[in-house]
This record gives sequence, structure tokens and C-alpha cells, in this order.
Amino acid sequence: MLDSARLRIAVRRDPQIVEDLRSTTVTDDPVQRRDLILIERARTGDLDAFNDLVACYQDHLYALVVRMVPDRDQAADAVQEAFFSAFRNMHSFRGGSVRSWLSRICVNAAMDAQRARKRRPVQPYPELEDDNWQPPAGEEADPVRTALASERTKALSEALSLITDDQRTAIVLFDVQGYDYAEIAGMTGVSLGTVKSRIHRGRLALRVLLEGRMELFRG
Amino acid sequence: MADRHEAHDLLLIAALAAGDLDAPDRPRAEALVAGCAECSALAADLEAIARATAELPAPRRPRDFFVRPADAERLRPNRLRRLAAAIAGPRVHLARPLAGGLMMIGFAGLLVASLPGLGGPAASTPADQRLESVASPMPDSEIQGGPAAPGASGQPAATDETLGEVRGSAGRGASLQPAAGGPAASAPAPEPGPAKTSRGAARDAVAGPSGLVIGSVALVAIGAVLFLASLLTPGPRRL
Repeated sequence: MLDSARLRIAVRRDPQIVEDLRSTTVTDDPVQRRDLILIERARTGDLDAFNDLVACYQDHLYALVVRMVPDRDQAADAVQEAFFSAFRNMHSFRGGSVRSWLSRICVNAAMDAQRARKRRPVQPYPELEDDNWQPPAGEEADPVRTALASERTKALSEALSLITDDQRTAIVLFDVQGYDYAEIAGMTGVSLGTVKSRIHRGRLALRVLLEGRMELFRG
Repeated sequence: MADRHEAHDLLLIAALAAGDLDAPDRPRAEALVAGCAECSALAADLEAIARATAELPAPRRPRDFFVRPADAERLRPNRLRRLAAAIAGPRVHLARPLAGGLMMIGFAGLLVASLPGLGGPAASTPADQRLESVASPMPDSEIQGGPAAPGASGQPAATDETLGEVRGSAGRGASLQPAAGGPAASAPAPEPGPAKTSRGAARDAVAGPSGLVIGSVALVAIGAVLFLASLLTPGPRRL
């Protein structure tokens, strides 16, 4: 049985798949392995595989972009454009983290949207009154606590919309999305020092903007 | 730290609050926080803002972002893009520097080719044509060692005026000896070397630079194609 020709072929084919994955990166992370398998399949023309990636990351990426582009429609358009761009440039994926790769594309799309927004300024965060932006309140939640959290979210979102695009991008990527300085530097194309400086200056600017409402954040 | 809070380095405090400081800045920032109540409050506020930012609720996305089959058909790279990706895709990291280098070399070649005396426009100046006309009556075999011995062959030497003009304008005076001071027989014997007639030299002068020009243009063209191909493929920063 083990000597059968068919099994030999099967055994010979197995390492090729592993080699394909290693041509992009070597990883033990199951999520990353799943992503690499999906992107390899998508590269061969499997649209469902690409849409599986979309399903995995659309929430994360929308949350990222909507913080950078505080207009829900523009943010949604930017995310859609980013996925189109990712699909168009799948073959340029060089390995590593698919999540970071998609995030980088989304950051670029968001920056483009920010530039477009500057040309056509609209009211910042018109959706602040929208329930979508309120923290989820469980049945057991304390109404006072919930109201306080809601007020804090509004104040902070408003202040975030008023700092510079660069500072907001760095803060959102670092504080909200949890990327480290090096990843942010790679995504935004600036040095590590610039990333740190943008985050520090951005927080200082937020503090100035939140002057008088800091009680919401203390304690 | 008795001085005013406004004079303190607030960026240093922000860096301390973010945990980004090491020696020697860290002790300085800690001293500021310890000695200035406002700096201390600022550090605490910045930490609170960072915590609150991290806890911002994620808004719900308004729709799905799937790629539909029609979109996929529209977005699939066409042959030109695939070719561009093959030429200058991310696996070829040096596509743009290489394109720049090739184009620079090509332009340098064109510049060199355009220099007077190196086969540029000067190669076909009237002075060169006169040079050929001066040398042409002489059979090649009689002008061993170059055009330095027009007088030795019994032919009337060109006048000083003509040769001086030719030498001056063509920039190839070394290949022509002045006729003044008697026949060229009194001139130093020509050095041994490949026998070249002035006609042959002129031919070389035209043929060489033409090759240079063609080669340079080819390099510029290849560089331009490579650069355009790299533009059609996403760069490292963008994706």
C-alpha cells in the first residue's frame, strides 16, 4: 500500500503546498496560516477564498477606517475600495501578516479619503448621535455608568476629529487597533520617531481639547 | 523644579506617560513629574486618555464589503498588468533603482555623444568635411601613420590657414601636423600603429558615436519601460 504509485504522488505533492506557504512566510500562528491558505487560493482565482478573507477582516478594517475618516459613508467607501485594491494586487502580497497587509491598504485608502474630505469638508462626526457609536449596554449595566461612558465616547470622538489627520491615524492605529510603533511606521511610511512624536503630540492635543471635561476620564 | 509649568517640556511628559523613555531622559521627566503638580496631573490625564481611546467602542459596519463576481471580473489584472508585475513586481525590488540607473547611464551616453569632437554634431561640421576633402586625394597606402605626412607624398600641402582652421574647429589637431616649416619629411617620424587614413578615421568617428547614441537611446528606452512597468505595479509603501 505504502509503495503504491498513487500514494507516492500524494506524498510528493504535500510538501509543495507547504513550500508555497513558506515562499510567503513561515508561521505557526493558525490564524496566519489560515489567511495564507486563503490568499493562495484566492490567487489561483478562487473568489470565495478572497471573500472569506473579507468576512474575517471587514469588521476590524471598518473600525479602523471609520476612526480615521469620521464619516461613515466615506469610511465604508474607503474600506470597499481597499478590498478592491487588495483583490487587484493580490499577487503583490509578499508574505507576512495578511491582516497587516490589508490594514496597510486600508490606511492608504483612509488617507486618500482624508485628503478628499479636506477638499470637501463636512461636519465632523455627524453620526455621534447615532446609536451605532454608543457603547453596548448590557441588561445589568449601571445606567449612570452607561451614561458616563457614552458621554466620554462622544467627547473623545469629537476631540479625535479635531486633531490632525496624521496624529489621529497614529493614535487610532496604536491605541484603538493595538499595532506597535514599527508596524505603524511601516503602514504610514514614516520613521519610528515620527510615529511616537505624532502619538505624543496627538494625546497632548486631545488633552487640550478635553480641558474641562477630563472628569469623564478620571477615576 | 521651582520654575513655571509652561516652561516644562510637555512632550517629555507625554513620552513618559506612554512609557517611551529610557535613560537619560527618563530621570529628567520623572523629576519634572515629581516636582511639578501640573506635570503630574498632565501625565495622569494622558494615561487616562490613552486608556479611554483604547476602549472606544467599535461602530457597526453599515454593510458587507464582499467582492462580487462582476467586480472580480473588472478588477482582475489584464495582460499588461501581469506583464508589468512580472517585470517589476515586488519580487524585483530593484526595478525602480535599476530603471533610474539605466536611464542615467543612457542620458550620460547621449551627453557624451553630443560633445564636440566625440562624434556629436561636430563630427559632421564643414571643417570635418574639409578634412576629408584634404585627405581624400591621397591614396590610403601613401599615408601610412595618419595624415601627418601630406607633404611627404609629394602632394601639395594644405595651407597653414586651412589646416589651422581644420585643427581648431574639429578639435583633432593631433592627427594633423602643420605644413609650415617645410615638408613633413622633417617632422618626426610617424609612430607605428594601425594604418589609418583620415577617411577611415572619419568613418570611425561617425560609426563609433552612432553606436554610442543607439546604445544610449536603448538604455534610456529600457529604463523607461522598466520604470513604467514599476508604476503599473504597486510600490512597497503603498501596499
